[in-house]
This record gives sequence, C-alpha cells and structure tokens, in this order.
Amino acid sequence: MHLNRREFLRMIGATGVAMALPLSLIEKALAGNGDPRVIWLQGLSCTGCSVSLLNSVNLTTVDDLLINKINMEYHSTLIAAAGDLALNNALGQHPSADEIAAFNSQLLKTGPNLDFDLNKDGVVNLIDYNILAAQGYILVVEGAIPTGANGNYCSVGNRLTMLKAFDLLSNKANMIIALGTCACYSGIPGAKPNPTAAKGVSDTLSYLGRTRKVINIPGCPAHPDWFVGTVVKVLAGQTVSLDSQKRPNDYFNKTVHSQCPFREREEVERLGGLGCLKEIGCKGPRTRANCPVLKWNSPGKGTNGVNWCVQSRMPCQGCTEPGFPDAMTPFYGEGEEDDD
Amino acid sequence: MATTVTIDPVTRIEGHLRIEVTIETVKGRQQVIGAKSSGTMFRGFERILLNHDPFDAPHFTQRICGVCPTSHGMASCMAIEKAYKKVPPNNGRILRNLVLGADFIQSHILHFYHLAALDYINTKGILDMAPWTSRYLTDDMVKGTTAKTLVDHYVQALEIRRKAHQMGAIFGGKLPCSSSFAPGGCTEVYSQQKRTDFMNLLSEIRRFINNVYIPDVEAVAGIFDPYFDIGYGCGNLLAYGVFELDSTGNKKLLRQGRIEKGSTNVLTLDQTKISEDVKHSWYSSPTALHPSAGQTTPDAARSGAYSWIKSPRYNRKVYEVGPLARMWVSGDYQGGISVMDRLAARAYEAKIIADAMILWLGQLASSGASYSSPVKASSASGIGLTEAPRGALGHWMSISSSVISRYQVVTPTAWNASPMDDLGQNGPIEQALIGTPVKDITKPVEVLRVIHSFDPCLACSVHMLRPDKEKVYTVIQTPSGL
Repeated sequence: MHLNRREFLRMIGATGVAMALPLSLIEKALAGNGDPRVIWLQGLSCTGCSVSLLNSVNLTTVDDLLINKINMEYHSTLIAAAGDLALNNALGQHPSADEIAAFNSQLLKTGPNLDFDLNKDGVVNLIDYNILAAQGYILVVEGAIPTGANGNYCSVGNRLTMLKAFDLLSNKANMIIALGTCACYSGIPGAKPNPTAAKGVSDTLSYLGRTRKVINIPGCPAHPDWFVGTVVKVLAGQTVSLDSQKRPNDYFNKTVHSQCPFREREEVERLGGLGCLKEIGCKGPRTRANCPVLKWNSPGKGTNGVNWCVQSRMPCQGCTEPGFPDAMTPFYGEGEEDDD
Repeated sequence: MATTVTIDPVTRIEGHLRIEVTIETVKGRQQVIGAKSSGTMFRGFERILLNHDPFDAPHFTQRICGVCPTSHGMASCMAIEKAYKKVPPNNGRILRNLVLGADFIQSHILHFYHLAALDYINTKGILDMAPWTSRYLTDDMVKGTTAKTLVDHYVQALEIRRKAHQMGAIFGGKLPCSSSFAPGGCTEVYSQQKRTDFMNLLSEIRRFINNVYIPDVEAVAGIFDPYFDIGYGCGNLLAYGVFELDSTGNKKLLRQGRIEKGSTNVLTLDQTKISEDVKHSWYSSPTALHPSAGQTTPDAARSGAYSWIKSPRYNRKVYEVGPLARMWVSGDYQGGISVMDRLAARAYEAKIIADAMILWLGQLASSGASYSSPVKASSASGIGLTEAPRGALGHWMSISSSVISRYQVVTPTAWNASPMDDLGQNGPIEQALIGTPVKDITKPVEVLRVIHSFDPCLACSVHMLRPDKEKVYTVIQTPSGL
C-alpha cells in the first residue's frame, strides 16, 4: 500500500486527529510505504557485496527489490541524500513505545478505514497501525567492524564510528543480516595481523555483551541470490533454516566439492588445466556453498550463472568459510617448472 | 563571514569520505574558499599481504575494492610478472584486457547513472521512496519529461551494468573479483561459444553507450553548461596507461604520460618521481618517500593533519588522474578540465574501450595457451602500473625469501582525494572545490557535483592507520521527525 503524504494528512486532518498527534511521528511513519525497512551499514568494506547485489536477476532484479519489496532507507552508495540528511535516515529516532501507544489509540478512534489495512487481512487493527507507525527494520551489515582503538578505524559519518553505529542499530533491529565474509567472520580485514582488530557481526555482538539473532550470508563477495533469496523468504514470513555457522541451509548445506561437476574428472597438476583441482590447492572439499550449481553472473530470470571459479580453472578459495583467508592460503600451488 | 559546511558521509561514492568546505561571499559571490578532503576508513592491506605467497596477491588485492577489483588484479599480476620476468601469452593478455574492459564499462555506467546523476535530476514525483527520498532538491535540477527519461535510463543502466559484469565473467570466472587472473596470464581460455556470447553482450552494451549513455551525458552537460567552468582543480593530468596492445607492454590503448597545467603537450612519465607526502596526513613516517620504500607509521595526534590518505605527488606537483587525464594524454579529448569535462570524458572513454574490445575479440587465437606458469624467484621486485576506472593505479612489490616482503599500493583516489602536502598544495578534489559557487549552504549540491565528478573510491585510497586515541567520538543526536 502506498499512501502518499498528502493523502494521509488529508485523511487524518478530516477527522481532527492530526493536531493531537506528534507531526514528527506521522512524518516518520510515512517515510515508509509499508515495505520492510532496510538499513545497510558498511564498515571495513570494499563494497563488493553491494556491487554483487546489483548483479541480481535470477530471482529478481535489484530495482524490483528496491522499488517493490524493501524500503532501503539507508545505503550510502545508493542514497540520494548526503551528510547529516542521509545519516538521519539511518539513525533518526524511531518511535518510542509511548509514542506508538498514543498513535494507536488516536487512530483507533477514527473507525475502520480500509486504506489502513496494510496487511490485507480484511480487518483494520493494531497490527496495521503497528506496521505503519512502528515499522521495525532489517539491519544489513557489509564489511567488518573494527573494534581497535575505540572503533576509530571506520567512521560511517559525522565522527560516528561503525562500531557505535552498529551498537545503536543492532539493538533495535528486527533482524540482522551479515552480508559477505567480512561482516560474517571479519574476512580479509581480519586476516593476520588484523591491524584494526576487525570482527564479524556475531563476534562484535559478543564484544558488546549482547545476544541477537543473526543470519550469516558469507562469500567474498556474497552471491546476490544468497541475499535476495533469503530476504524474499523472510518477507514471505517463512523460516530460514540455518547451519551451525548461521548460514542459510538453502545455499550452504553442502560442500563445493560434493556438488562439483569436475570431481570425477582427471586431477589437474598445473594451473590452467580443466578438471579436478584438488591437487593444486582447491578448497572445495572444505568449503560450503552452492557455486557449482548456481554459478555466477546470471544472464536472466530463472537462469543460473555463466561461470564460476573452478570452471574458470582457478581453485576454489574457500571464500564462504570462517577460515577465509588465513586458513585458505596459499590459494593455489603448483610445480616450479616453466612449461614453455 | 565564513561558514564551514561538513558533508560526512559523502554518499554515492565508494567508501568513507568526509568533506569540509569553508564558504564565504567574495566579490558578491558565495563560494568555497577552502576545502579539506578526509578518508575515514582503514584496513591495512599493506600489512596483511606481508609474508604471503606472491601468487596470492592478485586475489587479496582484488578485495581492496569491489567496484574496480579487476584493476587491482591486473596491477598485482603485472607486478609479479615483472618480478618473475614473465610475459603472459597473447591470449592471456587479451583475455585479461577483455575482463578489465568489461569492468571499466560497468564502473563508468554505474558512476554516471547511479552515483552522479541524482545530483542533476529532480526525482520528486518519479522516485518518491527510499533510497531516493529525503535529499537536496534545488531549482536548477532537471524536471519533467527529461527527468523521467533520465530515471528510466537509471533503471535501464542497472541492467546494462549487470550485463557488463556477466560479459566479463565469461572470461573472468565471476565478477566482482575475477577468479581467472593469475600471474602468467588468464586461466580461462578462448572458445568460439564464449567469444560469441561475449560479442552479443558487447553489442548490446555498445548500443547503450552510443544511444543512451553518451546522449544523456551530453544532455546534462548542455543543461548544466556552467559546470564546464566549475571544478578545474590543479590542471596537471597524469596517466600510467592501460590495455596493453602487444606483449612489449609499451603500446597501450590509453597511453602513459603527463600534461602540465595550461599546456597540451604530452610529457613522459618517470615513476621514480612519484612520492607521498605526509605533512597533513596522520603519519610520522618520513615524508616524500617513493612507494618502493614506502612506510606507514600512524600518528593520529599529528598536529595539522586531517586525513589518513597520504599525498601522492609527481615531482612534488599535484596531479589529477582519471578518465579525463587518460583521454587528454591519449589525445582523445579536446575539451577542458571541469566537472562536466570529467563526466563527458568518462562516457567517451567507455565508448573507446567498448569499440576496442571488438578488435581484441578478433585477435584471440583459437588455439594456444592463455596462461603460462612463471618461474618463481626467492628474491625479486616488480611494479605494476595500470589504470582503474578512476585513474592511475600502481602496485609496488618486493619478494624476499620467496614471500612478499613489501607491498605498497598507490590508488587513483589517493591522488585525487589527497590532503594538502608538505608544500601547502591542496589535493585535486580540494583544489577543484575552491571557487565553486554555492547558492544555498543548507543544500550544497554544487559541492557534491564537483566531488562526484572525480568518481571517488575510498576503499582504495587509504593504506593503513591507527586512529587517534584521544579523540572523543560523539553520537550525533538527530533532531526528531522532519
């Protein structure tokens, strides 16, 4: 449902309710359009997971996601606003419990108005008002969170550290998605000697002494379908079943090797050959991801990708695992002879 | 009465950038009189890479940036190939150029439509939802049917840049972060089917560049004509060159060279004259070091410093890098130096690269290796000089006891977003901002237009650092509601 601002104000203005409600709360509520809010924070990040998301098409395109499915309130790479104006979108005060209660009680007095039936269940009730007024949000974290030196290795804006921003936003998020290996497990910024004391989302929550539910969608970068597929399930109210690393089983329950079309082929002894790459350092046997099946860079809706690492003759680097990169290097090894 | 306006975060860039401008009315014109550009994210790649197998470098360095990973992969491969004295087979060189070209095109299209264009379009009534609402809206922004058309193209451009990545993945394995780049060539190989698939995508992308991207840039440039006189910057331009056309490495599609302010003569480039000042950067290591001897000792309490980005300089002079610099050096651009010239040069460069890629596809040999293993040396050094979409990119690498003993990266945004150097010279973005008129200091969209013209990428620009333990970081309590 997409009530625009003028329509809503006219509607409540007609009932004389407008004056009694804090205008700020109405404005906040109207900032959303009923779609779940997403606040996307980038820490020690290369933006690769965002760029990868832009490649989404197999399940749906990123414009469909942004326009029709989610309300991307804050993503510093895409957002039109800049500076404080942008940061307000992420950190603007969310309604307090008292404000929500006052809002609900006032609106209930106006009687049923089916334009307010946001969840389309034929009834206008507190559920709809809560959706309108108190929309929770999904916090997506891309990049690792530096905890060294009070978090000052990364500012998200206006002297606010990533650590502090994550502290604030993780507290009230309905759901936290750690996107990419950096956000899940600290990834490359966390590789030794980890100059910034970078941590993934779950480790940062422990560091902050907090327990929150997290979905880990690793990868370096993460595959767009892993994110879009998970979000679509969440929006449909379905349960996302997670493995012991908090990764969706839909994509991470099997090893690369167990699904690899090259596993029965002859083993390659030098880089550049096509076949099983175990002998030259492929981490497929200890990496969980469905790359061999889903592949990368899909050409269109309902179609798997055009290529993937092992098919391009480079051993799997294990980029979806907590051990990436330290437990995966050297990424490949081969003989010393020059074969020219 | 001067006012300082801070934009932090600068959005619609890659990474974390803070810009402070001092604005004052001078001779009746409210304008920027001072600017400070500050990078605010640090990871420490140059330390992380130490002691790794050199063959791992291209895979690590591609993760410096997810918008231009292929450029780092190329620079790493080139540095290692120089160190191990390896020349990749022709097919390997061409395949890597094709993947890099695809990534360039993707990046340029992304930049104009998804990063820069919103500075020029009034999206009210067209995109009234996040992330496009709550934004600066100024009277000079394009409205009406032109705005609607540009927004339609914004959406179409999402598809085209996706296809550019799909195209690159045919030989790159996947994008972002190409798996097939290795010192010694490209692990992917030619096949007739792959070439056909690549060509089909390239044709569609070329049609977009010619019929949509370039006309849109020209339309915006026509409407915002004053921006040909805004954002001049330092006037010196530098390019390492990119897209090697043969195995010598001397012949490139976009050439190496320098242009000094006020001249059109193309001068040679001697990489030994590159140094990095740190007077206004938070480092206590020696200033004016060449990258091959680069050091990075953070000092967050350093007086007068305001950025974690160092100040790369050539012969102690400030140089701008990027598509404008490349196009000038190659003699392919006959315009000026300004905000609009940067946007235009980027579009024309996309066309030049896309057109050349057709020729490269034709040069692929149907048989013959695309990869050849280098012979490792226990002690060696090499330099990889290439270009990222945003400008000149260099990797300086030393190998000792068979592992990486030093690795320094000087990125294009380090050049462009650098702070004031030891001689008191502002960096290119800072210089470009000075003199920029600002109509309304609560909506400094002119400042954004200048910054975005450089297509900043901050993940690339900072080496490593350790922050100031004494700074007090406060949470800004945003005013409720409106």
